[in-house]
Parts: sequence; structure tokens; C-alpha cells
Amino acid sequence: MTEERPVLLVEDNEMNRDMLSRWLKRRGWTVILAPDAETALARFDEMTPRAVLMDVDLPGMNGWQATREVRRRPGGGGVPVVALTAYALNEFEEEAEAVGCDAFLTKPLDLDAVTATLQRLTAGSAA
Amino acid sequence: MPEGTCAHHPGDTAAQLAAVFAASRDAILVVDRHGIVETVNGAAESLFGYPADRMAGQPLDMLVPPESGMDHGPTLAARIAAGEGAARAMDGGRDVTALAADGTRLPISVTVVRFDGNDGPRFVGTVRDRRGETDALAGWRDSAARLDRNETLMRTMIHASPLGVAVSRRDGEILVANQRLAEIGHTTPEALIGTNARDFYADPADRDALIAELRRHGVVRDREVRYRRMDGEVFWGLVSLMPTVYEGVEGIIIWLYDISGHYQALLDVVPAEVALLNGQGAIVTVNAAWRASDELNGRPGDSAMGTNYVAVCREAGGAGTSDVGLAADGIEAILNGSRDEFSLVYQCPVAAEERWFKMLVRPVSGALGARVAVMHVNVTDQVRVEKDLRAATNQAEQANRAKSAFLAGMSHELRTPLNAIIGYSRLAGESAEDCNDDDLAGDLGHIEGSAKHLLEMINDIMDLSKIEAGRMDVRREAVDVRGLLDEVSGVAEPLARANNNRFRAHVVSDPGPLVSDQLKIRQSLLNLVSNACKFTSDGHILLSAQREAAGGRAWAVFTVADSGIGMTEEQLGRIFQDYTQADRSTSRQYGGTGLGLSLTRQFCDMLGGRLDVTSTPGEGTRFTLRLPTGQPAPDTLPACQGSGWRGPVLVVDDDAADRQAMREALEAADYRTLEASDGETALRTTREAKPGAVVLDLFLPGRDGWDVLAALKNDPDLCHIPVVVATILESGGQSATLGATDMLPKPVRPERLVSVVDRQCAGRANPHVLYVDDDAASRDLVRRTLEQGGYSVATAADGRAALERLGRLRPDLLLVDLIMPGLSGFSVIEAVRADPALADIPVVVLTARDLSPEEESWLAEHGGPVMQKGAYCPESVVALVRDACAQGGAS
Repeated sequence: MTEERPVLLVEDNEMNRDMLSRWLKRRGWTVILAPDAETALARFDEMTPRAVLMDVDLPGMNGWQATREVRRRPGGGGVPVVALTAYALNEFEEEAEAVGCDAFLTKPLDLDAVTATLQRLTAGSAA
Repeated sequence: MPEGTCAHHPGDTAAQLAAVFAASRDAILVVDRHGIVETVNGAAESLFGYPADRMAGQPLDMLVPPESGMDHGPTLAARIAAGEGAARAMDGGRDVTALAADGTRLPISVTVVRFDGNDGPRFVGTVRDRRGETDALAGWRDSAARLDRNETLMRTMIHASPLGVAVSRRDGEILVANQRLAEIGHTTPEALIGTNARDFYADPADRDALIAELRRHGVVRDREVRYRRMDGEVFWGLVSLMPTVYEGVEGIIIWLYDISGHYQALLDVVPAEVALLNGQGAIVTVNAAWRASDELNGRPGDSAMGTNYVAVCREAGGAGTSDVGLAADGIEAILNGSRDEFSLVYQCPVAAEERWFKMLVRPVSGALGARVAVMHVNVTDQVRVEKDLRAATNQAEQANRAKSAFLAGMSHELRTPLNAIIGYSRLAGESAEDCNDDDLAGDLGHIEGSAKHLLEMINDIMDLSKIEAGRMDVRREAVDVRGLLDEVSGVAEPLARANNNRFRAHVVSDPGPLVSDQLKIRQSLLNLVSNACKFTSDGHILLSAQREAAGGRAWAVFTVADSGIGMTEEQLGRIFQDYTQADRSTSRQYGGTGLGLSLTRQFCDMLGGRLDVTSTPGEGTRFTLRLPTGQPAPDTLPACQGSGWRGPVLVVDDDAADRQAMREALEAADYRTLEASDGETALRTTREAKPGAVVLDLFLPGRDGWDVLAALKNDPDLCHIPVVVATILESGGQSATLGATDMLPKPVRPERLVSVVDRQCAGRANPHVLYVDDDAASRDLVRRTLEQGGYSVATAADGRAALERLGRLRPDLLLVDLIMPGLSGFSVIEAVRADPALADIPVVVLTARDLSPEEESWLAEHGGPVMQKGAYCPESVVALVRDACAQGGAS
């Protein structure tokens, strides 16, 4: 998986951002980072990523709103969005579906599940 | 008429007079001035019964009865003699009684005319026979005459009447009134005389209407009319009127009853404030409570009769929205029939302290012309309690929400760093592995493991908190039992492997459709299985599912059995408490939060089920999770056929030498044997030969021992056959967990094999059942069925006989009918449970009637399974008995 379009990781917690990006890089993914929704949308506009890993609990615009924004953007409809949250609530899973997320993972993350989910969602998509 | 007159005036006139005289239907007598009869006509002859010549020349007194001198007054003769009344129609037709020839008294009417002839005055009497007049008229004449004569009596009647009575002239002027009427009017009889009745009507138009009715119908009866007392107070009276003559004056007699007092007494005892309104919304009357609170509560309008309450409300409240406006709307809605009732809770606008009222409006009919009742009930206390309650509830909900929010936030805050800890441990662990630094990789593994443990605890605490806060919802969905077991197996297998355990899951009998909460069942089973894996090493863990019918319901039963360290009785008593493990050292050695079992039991409760546990220290533990399927119990259980219990023993082993060793051992103990070297053969032989027991090696070519065991236990025809598992898995201390009834360590020692098979075949082949029932037919049927199933059965016809027998011979099982004469089944069970020597005997209850919830819970505590008579077939009794025997033997 060289020189593929990157995965956009939106996460405000620095350590978690660092840890997850290193995990992804180690597994061969290209990753670009955003600490908040605004930056994430700007990055998204610069180049449409392969997939988005979206933390829900972001400062300012939250992950749900950011996902809605992504879905409104040209080309944003086909990009897989995986919601990440440390809230283990059923309501959140429903909300994730409502705003158009493709998957929902709770923290602490099962790192293998993160890569498996990304692989499943991006399988067959153009590099 | 004197003949002389005719003779002196011959011609037409005389002839005509003679003809009239003869033809008159009235009797005519001519009498001289001395009272001597001169002439009579034919009608007189026939009326009095004398021929004319017998009357002529006789005194008139011959026609007067001796006793009726009074009627006639002075005799006609005497009056005539006195020269009375010339040409005067004497009394213009007076009714008297005459004496006929035959002595009968004749009612007659007499008119006397005097004329003066040439030879002095004569009298002509015309007599009319009154016998033709109607009796009624006669009666009327009589009573009128009597009334006329008995004014004293009338006065007595007026003054002694229990009703108010007055007589007025037609114009209303009161002539006489009694004391009672004066009391009603708050005055004296004397003061009433000379006043006008009209002035006492609250609405004079009411009197006009009554007088008009009196003219039309001659009488007015029982009309409800409002009157005004002397002091101005208005009241309702029940009035009747009739025309009368009082002391020769034509007038009206009035009877009056004060019904206001009558209704008022009833209304006044009502603690609510009550007003009755008429069809226009005007107040007809109010009760004492209303009058008392009128000013206090600042209610619009006063309580005066006639005040239009609806109009007053309208004025005070305008239309709609305000409370009084709504009240007016409500009353009108009832008056026009568009509503049946109206109620409104409002706060009293003027009182200094807070006051709440409930206004109730209901239609009424009949009394006092009222159409609607308005009630105001003081509900201040209720409103206050409700407010307090609502406030408390709000507070509690708020606190609960705050708690939930806190927990969710807390969970979030704990998970975020855990994410980093677990993730970095994983990354670092991989790096360490890449550098071949095993020690470091191991240490990092411990960090990751501990972090995951911490996570489990957080999850469990969250779940328990949710249950505590009542925020844990139970779903009702179709549960796929096989899928569920597969899913749990997927998680359980690696866990089991970690401690070198073997894990198996199988469906003993498909529970059929199960409507429950799949996630909670899954979590419960995972908890139980991971516990089993934790407390077992080098052993095995079995997860099984089957169906069961009890208490008229179908149950899905999940069992998790292990061959682990087990628990003591004392430890068993504590394991369901939150944060408690069997032993404090347990958590150090085995980890775990101590919340899993508590959660599992809570889930089980929420799903309407039950979690039971049995355990033997050093041998293993068995958890049984019973859940209602939400389906009715099947009509019949998959009955195990009871044949073949004393059949041969089938030895299944792929190792010929082992097979031979076992065969020889068994045959030495007088068992016939059959052999099979693989799973397929074993199953086929079992089906064909129905052996008394199977000794089964687990490791077989093809279908292994686990599969054979599952197949045997899934087959209704074979599931009763005891299976002894011979295994090299562990060298002792393991108990049967797979539906196997016993376990033998391999290599098998002959004497051990024989004793185990003995126990299975002899011990279980002929358990002793005591069956207590007062119904002989039931006793016979159940006894024969059980005997066919290989049981020895003793029966007792009542509770006392049963207890006697129990004293002599201890059965393996007690089967008891609940309702018996004398000592009931309840008492028998109680006595058995109270006796230390008998207390552990399994009890199965048979009953012909539906049990109350109290009885059911009592039996759940003291007895065993309950089976409804009529709902059971003999086979299902056998199945129940077998289960109970097996459980009794295991405990």
C-alpha cells in the first residue's frame, strides 16, 4: 500500500493521535492528522482522503457535525468515515448511523479492529 | 183546581186546565185552608198509592211521616192555618219526605201555590218524585249540606293539619291560616290573616300560573314553587290548591310543605360547597358549606337564590382562558347537554395562604327545578402532596440524570487514557518483539493485560450502575440459540486454551423459539464461561443449551460446567454479591472484578429467569441459567423411553487392548457387554441394543467422544442412558459435566470401572419413589408408568400415611399431590423439609389446580418442580422424576 491516498485521522488527544497514527503507519497506511474538525475539513478539501477516522468528542465542532460536513462536500459521499468515541453508549451508535458514518468503534480501541475496519471499508476503492 | 171554577167558567180555558191537571206527570193536590185535601190528580194517586177518593176529605198530614216533622217544619196545615204566604212559592221547591200508602218513605220535592177562590184561599201543591235523581247528586247534596253545617270540623282540620294550610278569597286575601303555615312563614297565624297570598310568592307570576291551572283542572297538586317568608327569606314549597267555601265565602284552600328544609338538610351535611342551579344557571339553593365559604374564598357572586351564577362567572372571568371563564363554559356545556361532567382545579385567588379547590359540575334533575349541581371541594392538601411528590420525583430524576451523566463522563475520562495505555503497550510490545527482547515484551504484555482488566471493570461498573438507575433496557427479540453458542464459543475457545482447557459447546435439545435479550444472554454466558476458564486449568469447560418445561412454561436452559477448583458451600453463598469473589485471595490469583456474576444474575432477573449454581471443591462448578422462552410449554415433553435400563454395557474405545480390559472387568462383575471402536458404531449399537450404560472414550477416530455424547443426549430415545466417560484428560478429581453421568480417569482401573457402572446401572436403574395421592386412579396410573420407567414405587393415600412410610423407609424421591384430605401436600413437604434425615429428598409436586403466586413461591422454596395434573402425560412425569432424581443424586 505505497503512495496511496492517505487516511485522515481526526483526534484532539495528542497521545491518542500519535499512538493511532503510528499504529496505522506501521501497518502500511499513509496518515494525515487533524486535531479538530475545522482543520480536518480544510485537509479534506485539500485532497480527498481514502477514509476518515473521526473522533466524536472534539473541541468546537464535534465529530457528528464534521461528518455531516464531509458528506456535503463534493466527493465526500463516497469516503468511508469511522467514528471513534470513548462513550460506550448505544445512543452514540445510532447517532453514528444517522449522520452517515460507516462504522463505529469505542475506545479503548482494539487496534486490530481499526485496521480490519479500514481494510473492509476501503477494499476495492481506487488508491 | 176546584170544580166550581170550571163550572163557573165553562169553555176552552176550563177544559184545558182540566186536561193539564189530568195529564201532569207531577202529582197535584188541592188543599183547603184547613189542610184538608179537596182534589188530587192521577199522578198523585199513583205516587202516594191511594185512590183519589181515599185522599179527598182527609187531612194532608196523612202523607207526612211521623218522624219527619223537622223536615217539613210546621205542618203545612198549620202554616196554612196561620194564613202564611199568599201567592208565594213556598221555599221554591223544598225537598221533603212523604209517607206513601204502603208505608214507604218517598223523597219528594214540593212546590206550593196559593190562590184565592170565591170561597176562600186554597193551596195547590205540585209534588215531584225525587227517586229518579242520581245517587251522586244526592251524595253531593248531602255532603255539601254536611260541610255547610260542619264548619267547626273544617276549622279543626285546618288547625290540626301537619301541613301549612290557609284559606284565601279568590283575590288572595287570607281568611284563615294554621300555626304550621305561620311557622313556615316565620310569623304568626294572626299576622297572616288579611295579608295577600300573592305577596308570599318569590315570583308572583308563579301564583298566576297556579291559579290558571286551578281554573282549568279544578285542583293543583304537588307543585314546587319558591315562596318568600315574612322576613324575606326565599324557600321552596310543595303546594296544592283547591276551591272551597269557607264560612259562606267562596275561596281557595292552600296546603304547603317546606321542602327547602328537606333538601337543605341533605345538602348541608355534604362537606363540599354545593350550589344547585336551574336551567338558566341561576342559583336555586346553596348548602351551608357554600354559604360559610362564600366570602372567604372570594368566589364570584353571592349565594342568594336567583343569582345567575353563570352570568356572574362570565362577568368576573371574561371568556375562556381564566379559571372562572372556564367554569362558566363548563356549566353551560352541562346545561346544554354537550358534556356530562366538568371539573377544574383552581387556586383560590383571594385567600392569604395558598388554597386549592376542585370545581365539579354535574347534571341533576327533579328537585327544586335544579338542572345542574356545582361543587367546590377543597383539595389544598392533595395538591400540596402532589406538588411535593412531583418535586421529589423531579429531584430524584435530576439526581439520576446527573448520576448517569457523571458515570458516562467518568467512563469517557477513564477510557481515553486507557486507549493510550493499551495502544502504546501494543506498539511497544511489537517493538520489543522485533528486538527479540522477551522480558520487555512480557512486561508490556502485563501492562496491556492489566489495562484491559481495568477496562472490564469499568464496563461492569457502568452496567451495574445502569441497572441500579433503572436505565438498563431489556430488549425482546428472537434469539438464535445455536448462533449465540457459536459466538460465545468463538470468544471462549482462546480463553480456554490459555489454561490448557478444552472447551465444548453443544445443544442438548433445541430450546425452540426464544424471545429474550440476545446481548444480555451473550454477556451472561461470556461471564460464566470466562469465569470457568479462569478457575480451571488442564480441564474442560462445557456450555450446553436445552429446553425444559416447568410450571406450564417453556424454558431455555443454559449450563456452563467446568472441572475447575470449585467452591465450598460458604463461598457459594457469597458469589452473587457485588464486588465479592469467593475468596479475597482469588482476585490476586485469578484476576476479575467480582462484578461479573453479580451482573449475570441481575441480567437473569431482568429477563425473568434464574441463575443457579452447584459446586464441589476440587471437582468443579456448574452454573445453570434458566430463561423463560416467552412461549407456552409444549404439550408433551420429549419423553425419554424408559426401556433398556437393565440392558448390557456398551464399551466404546478405539484401543482394542483397553476395550478388552474393560470388557473383562465388566463381565467378571456379571455384566453383559457390547463393544464399539468408533463413534458411528457406538451410536448405531446404542440405538439398536439400548444398553443399560455406555462407557465412552473421548478420543475416537471419526466422530469423537464429545460428538457421540452430544448425539446421545440429543436423542429422546437415548438421552436417559447413563454415559461414563473414560478419559486421559485428567487423572482424577473431575466430575461429569458434559451430560455424562460419570467420569473415569484413564487408564481405567477395573474395580473403579465396575463400581461406577454399578452405581449407574443399579443405583439409577431402580430408584425408590414414594407417591402420595388421595386419588386411587392417579395412584395406579402414575405408579405403573414409573415402574415401566424402571422405578420402584410405593404409594400412600394421604399425608399421614406418607409421613409414616417416610419414617420407615427413605425414598430417593417424593412425588406429592397438593390437595388431600387431612394433611395436605404442603404439610407433607414442610414436615419432610423440617426433618434433617429427609430434608434433602427431591420433591416433585403434582397438582390439579392453579397455584396462587404465594403457593408458587412457597413451593419454589420448599419443593421441586410443579406439574399440573391433566397437563401432564405419564412420560413427562417420568422425565421430571428422572431429572429430580439426578439432581438429588448430584447434590
